[in-house]
Amino acid sequence: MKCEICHEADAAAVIHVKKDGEDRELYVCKACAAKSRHKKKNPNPKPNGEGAPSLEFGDGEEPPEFVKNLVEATLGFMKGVVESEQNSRTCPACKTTWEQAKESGHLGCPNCWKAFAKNIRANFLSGQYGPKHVGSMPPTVTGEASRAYLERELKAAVAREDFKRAAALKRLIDALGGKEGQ
Amino acid sequence: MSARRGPNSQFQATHVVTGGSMCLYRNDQDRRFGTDDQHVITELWELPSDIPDAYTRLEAAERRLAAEHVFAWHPEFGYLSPFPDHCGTGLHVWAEFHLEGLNLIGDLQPVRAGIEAMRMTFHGVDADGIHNAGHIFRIWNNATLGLPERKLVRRVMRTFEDLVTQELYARQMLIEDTPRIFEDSIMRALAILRSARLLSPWELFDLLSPIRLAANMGYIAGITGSEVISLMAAQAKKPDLPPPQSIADERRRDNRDAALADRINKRFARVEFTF
Ligand SMILES: [Zn+2]
Ligand SMILES: [Zn+2]
Repeated sequence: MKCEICHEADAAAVIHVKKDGEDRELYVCKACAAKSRHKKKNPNPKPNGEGAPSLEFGDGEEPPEFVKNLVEATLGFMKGVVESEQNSRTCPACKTTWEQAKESGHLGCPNCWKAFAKNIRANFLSGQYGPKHVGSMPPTVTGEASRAYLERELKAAVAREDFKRAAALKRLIDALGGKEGQ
Repeated sequence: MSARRGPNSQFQATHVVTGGSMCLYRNDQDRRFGTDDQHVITELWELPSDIPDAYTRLEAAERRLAAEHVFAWHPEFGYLSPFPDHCGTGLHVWAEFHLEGLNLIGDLQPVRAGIEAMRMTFHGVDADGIHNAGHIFRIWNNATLGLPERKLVRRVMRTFEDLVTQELYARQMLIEDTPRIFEDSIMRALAILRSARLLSPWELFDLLSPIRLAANMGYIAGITGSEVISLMAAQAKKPDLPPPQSIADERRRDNRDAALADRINKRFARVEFTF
């Protein structure tokens, strides 16, 4: 899944924002998460100063200006996605409906996880150790992506004439240096 | 007959935990979920204490696969699978236990409840109308979300080690505190194995469990523990016959059970309980 702010890097974190009195979630990359963390001035830093301030905004809390702007800026894109997360009955990518998925216990594609996130949380995750993933992340998310993967992505980006992404990928591949492999 | 303390080799972890594996499930980002597309990386381990090393090998294999694939991933749900209750690390650690000692001293239920409270599945073999046939149990973590891999690995290792200890302790209690129950279960099983005229594969599987326990503890002559294990495995592999619909079906089933009984009567004629 791509970052919903920059649409460049893979999403690696969730930030919660309030929009029109409704809780919304943005899946963002590490850099964008750090940016919003930086912008969010914590008025009462924890006395022990431990850990980074939480990215979650409390219920009554107004999101910082920066995040509001981001939400405005991405609203066109977000509207579809957020609405699909709130009420979705059908995955936009594979057309599986929530009823079908629930009935068969089988989702249609990776995007179903996003389309049916609310339903999945409510119906399927009660037996888990915790509500959120902790542990390893794929190298495509941590930034340790292999040359093979980057080159394949570059080819795909060129094929669909996404030259901005192609240029970014080219820079990453050059930065790896060396020859085959890592 | 009187209870006597055998050599230490009668209490071996390998008699209780009869093999384990661990799997990582990965799916590709840019594909619909199908049945064939899922990557399953598997490692085997022998004793619970080997689980962390097995995970190190698994992790290396996963990194090699990650160099060639873009895995379906979500910042909240982790590695995605087609199943809405399978996400997070996608790591399952699986083992098979023989818990006849706990069964005979009557402690199986509380132990099972304790394992299930750890969010693990505890699954007996139910077949041929026999509940928990052979007291062989498969145990694995059904939860994969919310605990990092290394923590899960350590937790599962400790749970499995505790279970082995409890079973070995039950075996010791059995021969020291309740030898009559021990003798009764073994001799009853031996009597049926020697003289039953019809034996279904699953009934045989179930009857072999106390024999396996006694053989592992060094109290059986005439058949080895490993032969008992292979006999059990052979029964488990036999396909279940559908419920008989006609007299011909019934005859077919009876013929099968008669042939098995004849063979087993012969094999166990000179097997002795040496407690
Ligand atoms: Zn971003
Ligand atoms: Zn879908």
